Amino acid sequence: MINIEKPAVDVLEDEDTYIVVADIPGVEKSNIEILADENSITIKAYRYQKFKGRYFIVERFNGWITRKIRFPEPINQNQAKAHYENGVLTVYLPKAKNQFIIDTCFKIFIP
Amino acid sequence: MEERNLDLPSTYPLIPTRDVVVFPYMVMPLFIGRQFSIKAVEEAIDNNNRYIFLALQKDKNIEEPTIDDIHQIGVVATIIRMMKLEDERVKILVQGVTRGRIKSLTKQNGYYQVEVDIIEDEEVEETIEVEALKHSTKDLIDKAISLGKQIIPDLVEIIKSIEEPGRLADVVASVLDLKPEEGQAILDILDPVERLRYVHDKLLKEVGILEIQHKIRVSAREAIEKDQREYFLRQQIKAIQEELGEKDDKKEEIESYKKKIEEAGMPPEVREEAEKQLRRLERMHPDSAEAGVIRAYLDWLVELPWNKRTKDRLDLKIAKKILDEDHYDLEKIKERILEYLAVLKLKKQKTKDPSIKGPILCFVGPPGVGKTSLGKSIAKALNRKFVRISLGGVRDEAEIRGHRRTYVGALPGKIIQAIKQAGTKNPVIMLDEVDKIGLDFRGDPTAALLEVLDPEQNKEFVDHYVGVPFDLSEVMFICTANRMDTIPRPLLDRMEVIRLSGYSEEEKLNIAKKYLIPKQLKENGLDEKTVEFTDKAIQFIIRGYTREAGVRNLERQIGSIIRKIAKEIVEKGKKKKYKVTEKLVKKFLGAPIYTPEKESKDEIGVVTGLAWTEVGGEILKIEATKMPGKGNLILTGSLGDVMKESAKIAYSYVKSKAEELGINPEEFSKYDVHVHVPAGAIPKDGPSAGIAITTAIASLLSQRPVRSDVAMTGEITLTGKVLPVGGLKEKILAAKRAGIKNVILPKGNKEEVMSDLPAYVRKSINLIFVEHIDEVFKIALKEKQVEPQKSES
Repeated sequence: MINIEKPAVDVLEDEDTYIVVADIPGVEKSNIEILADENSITIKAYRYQKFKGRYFIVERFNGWITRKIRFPEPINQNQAKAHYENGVLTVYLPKAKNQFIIDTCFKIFIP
Repeated sequence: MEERNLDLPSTYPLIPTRDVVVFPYMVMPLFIGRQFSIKAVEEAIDNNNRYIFLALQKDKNIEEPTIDDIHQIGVVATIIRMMKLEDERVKILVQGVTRGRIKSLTKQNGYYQVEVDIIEDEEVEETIEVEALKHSTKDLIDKAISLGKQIIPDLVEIIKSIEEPGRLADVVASVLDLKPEEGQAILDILDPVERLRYVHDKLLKEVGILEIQHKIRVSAREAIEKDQREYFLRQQIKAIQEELGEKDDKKEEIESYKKKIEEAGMPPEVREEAEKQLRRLERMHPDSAEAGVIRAYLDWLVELPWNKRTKDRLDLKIAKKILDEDHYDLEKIKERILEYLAVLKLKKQKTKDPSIKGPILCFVGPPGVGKTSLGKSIAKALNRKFVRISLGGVRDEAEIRGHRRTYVGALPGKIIQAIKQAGTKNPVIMLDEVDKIGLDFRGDPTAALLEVLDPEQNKEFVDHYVGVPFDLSEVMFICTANRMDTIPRPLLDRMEVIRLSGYSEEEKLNIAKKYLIPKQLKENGLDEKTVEFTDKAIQFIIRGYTREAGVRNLERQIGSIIRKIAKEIVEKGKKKKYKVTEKLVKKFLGAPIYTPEKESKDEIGVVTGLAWTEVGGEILKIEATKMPGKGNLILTGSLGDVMKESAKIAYSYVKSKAEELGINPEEFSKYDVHVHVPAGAIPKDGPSAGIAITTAIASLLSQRPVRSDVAMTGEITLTGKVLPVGGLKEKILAAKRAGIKNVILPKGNKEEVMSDLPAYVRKSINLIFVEHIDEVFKIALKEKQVEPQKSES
């Protein structure tokens, strides 16, 4: 819990999809990981310090950035899609409807 | 990529803190000033992944601490934010991560580098005690918040969710109000349960303090709230009244008082007092009892004539005319009043001083002679207001000088009331019946009167009620009394006594014609054209229906006749002219009450004495008789001590002169002598019957009859001298009323009698002035007769 930042997120839904939009700027795409189970996802990222030198001001956060988001209805993690651009991570999560996918720790791939 | 900070390094740049302890999980801003600490911050950000070690200095005054100056247990922290300030200092925001113990310290590149053993809390067995401790701590936090402790809501949520006792202790410690040493003590406790117990105790103590603070605050707030509530409600009432079109009575009242004070022309000190009371009234609720008291007081203050006066008319001619119009004769008194006015006029011309610093006039005389109306005439002549204060029966000092305002229903004294009634500060105030002032335990009213009447003191007369001085120096005081002997000496001393004796028959006749009859006719709706009194009828009324010094009874009898005439006129409806004759008087008033004294015989041992009473003079028949006995003297007739002594002197004198008077000395041992002065029920005193008693005893023992047409008055001494006495005019008038022709008087009174007595009285009665009792005997005693005969009269 120490040294962890929660990114700001928007979550919206339509008939059959949840969309999660999270600000995670200044991170290599390879340093972002999305884990999903039947009704939640966890976003984790790690930000490294970009420069060495004498700092005047330090405000930006370096270290673990994580956020777990729960949904009211189950999701179909197999069909999930993610996409990272300009420091904004967007995750599309189709609602599971009648299918029920038992707890798995599923990694969503970010293309 | 692992969430837990297991990858913490083993060396850290050190920041020795001086007055703050940072706990694990605690976020705290720090100001860094020392160069080595700034260097440490830079190093941490640049090379140590923002990790730093914070440890408390043992003594905050040490600038360059060594390892011994720093507490061993400290905290690994991460720098969240950093900012270099303009004054070379650095502000950092840190968050504690975990405990650590310093293993070694080295200084390099300008900062301290420490090697640290990370201390993780041990796993704790969840005993009931631990559970209870956790619950209690969380409850206490709730309580602290309810008592006003400021904790960020997020942090409260976090505290609620913490399960590990060590961590709970650390987080709670971060919100406690702790001194650095206390904080370090918590940091030093490595056993989580022990730490929680310690923090719990600290929290308990803080809640206790908060409770007391809260109690104080609440009670203070309650007091304020009550006042505010009242004020608020008052404002609402006011607003409602205004809305209803009801005026703000209080404001209006205050304004009206302000105006009245403005107009009253008060002296500065009085005005100050009035305004002070007004300010008090303004602050008060208008319905309170005290407000009523102040209102009454202010009413008095504004209504007193502080600066109002009538202009004096000091014209002697007009004054004389007015006095003559109102009063018959009384020449001496009128003269005195005119003198008084003349002096006043001269004084005013010279000094412009309106105050009257003369003696106070005091009219002494029997009832009904016009004392009060004389006062009225003086006021009229002077063009001043007239007020009469009756002092008869006043027993309480407070009636003169007022009650203090603290008493319920307090009022100013009679003097101030009279001034208010007059409405000017220079009225004529008549103090009626000063001889009848009472005196008891409530204080002496005469003492208060002394101040009022003293021209030196009454410039600043302070009434107890009014409480501020009022200037009485322009008031003209006139007193009246029926007798002088009961007026207290100091009071009498301040007054100039003017005697009004009774009126003679002629005077009464004139008064009746000129004043009483016209007045009564007017009062009863008739006029002089309808009713006419003959002189004889008036004389008949005076003789047959009145016996008095004044004219009050006479006026009443005249009034009674006139009313009966009025009734007759109305009943019979005819408007004929009435001529009141003796016959008509008899018809209306019935038989005369007083019949003229019958021609009395010259008797042995019966002498006509003269007495003075409050209601004028009277004649006294002094009787003496003898009976077998041992020479005792018996005295009856309610005699006072002085009169008894006077009788003893008379008896002794007659005894001593027995031979000269032709009395057998043996008579004194054979007989008792009894002297009686009728009427027996009326108390009598004074020495003035001395010669009359002597004559009676002498007549009795020598068996020589006394002339019944001779009356006498005078004090006797043991050597037989006749001394002067008082009240002669009344006595002579009484003798005249009784139809006595000769009056024997002391020679010492001659001058007084000759000047006082109107000439027609002097002419109609034979006045004989004597120095010695022998002269009296010569005049009053007839020669001894073998058998008593009818006198020739």
